[in-house]
Amino acid sequence: MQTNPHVDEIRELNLAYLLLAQRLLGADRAEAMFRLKIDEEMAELLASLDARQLARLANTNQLLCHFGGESVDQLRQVADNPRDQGLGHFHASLLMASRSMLSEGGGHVG
Amino acid sequence: MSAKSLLDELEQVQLAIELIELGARLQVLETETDLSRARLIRLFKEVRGMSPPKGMLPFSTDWFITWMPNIHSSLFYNIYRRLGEDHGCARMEAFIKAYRLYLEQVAIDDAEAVLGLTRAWTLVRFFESDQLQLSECGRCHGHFVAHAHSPTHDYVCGICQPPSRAGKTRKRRAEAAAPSAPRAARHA
Repeated sequence: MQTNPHVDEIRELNLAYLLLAQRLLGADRAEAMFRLKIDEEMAELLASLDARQLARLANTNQLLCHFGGESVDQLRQVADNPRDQGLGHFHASLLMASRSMLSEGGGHVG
Repeated sequence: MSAKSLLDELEQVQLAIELIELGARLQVLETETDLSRARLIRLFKEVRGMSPPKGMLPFSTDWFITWMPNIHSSLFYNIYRRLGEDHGCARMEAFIKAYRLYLEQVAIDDAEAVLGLTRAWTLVRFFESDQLQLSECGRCHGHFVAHAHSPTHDYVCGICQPPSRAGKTRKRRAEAAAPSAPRAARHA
């Protein structure tokens, strides 16, 4: 059967993502959890995986890493801000950092 | 003095050094460590090679609400909250890590670190004394620094809706005009 040419790319990206996650977690646990948007339990698990387990997880035709939690509306606002002042990266960074993994409140949030 | 307090003191010195390296003023160090003022001044001189600047810290919340400072402050404060609330960092640990992460983003954008470390610290203190709050932008749903008790509905942030004069400071205009000058000189 003919496989999709992108499957290899996905597998490579999965493995690269897992390896990066492990290196980040090894260097600074809290900072890595912030960058990766994962909780303590997931951090613990990812850090503990050995090479064989990593390879097994990476070998799938679907991506392991996901969008950093912004909704379509949020992404659209960053990508097509009609009043863009060259603050696009900053905006994306701020939106990702705005989202709590614990709870999500509206309006006055703190 | 017990062994524990020596270790404790070492930790305090390390914290002070980190803060000084990141640009802390003396008042920050005096509040956040138990080290004596004299020792802090000595430490400051050794780390920075100069005497600590004198004078009072900025004491108004208004600066954090002005356009560009608000964007920088909001990014920093969101990171700080994530590290403290979601990832279990202690207060000063979260503060230092968040400030480094903020500087990192600024460096990616090749932008100026509008929010200095001492400002970032006063920002945290203003939140702790309930003088500031985070308001959610109705358009991008990002969380932005605002005066405490300010109305939150219909709030739109300074990125989604920059003020009409945003980015048109005298300095910016001068920078925009500057690149053409050398070229003109070459042609002459």
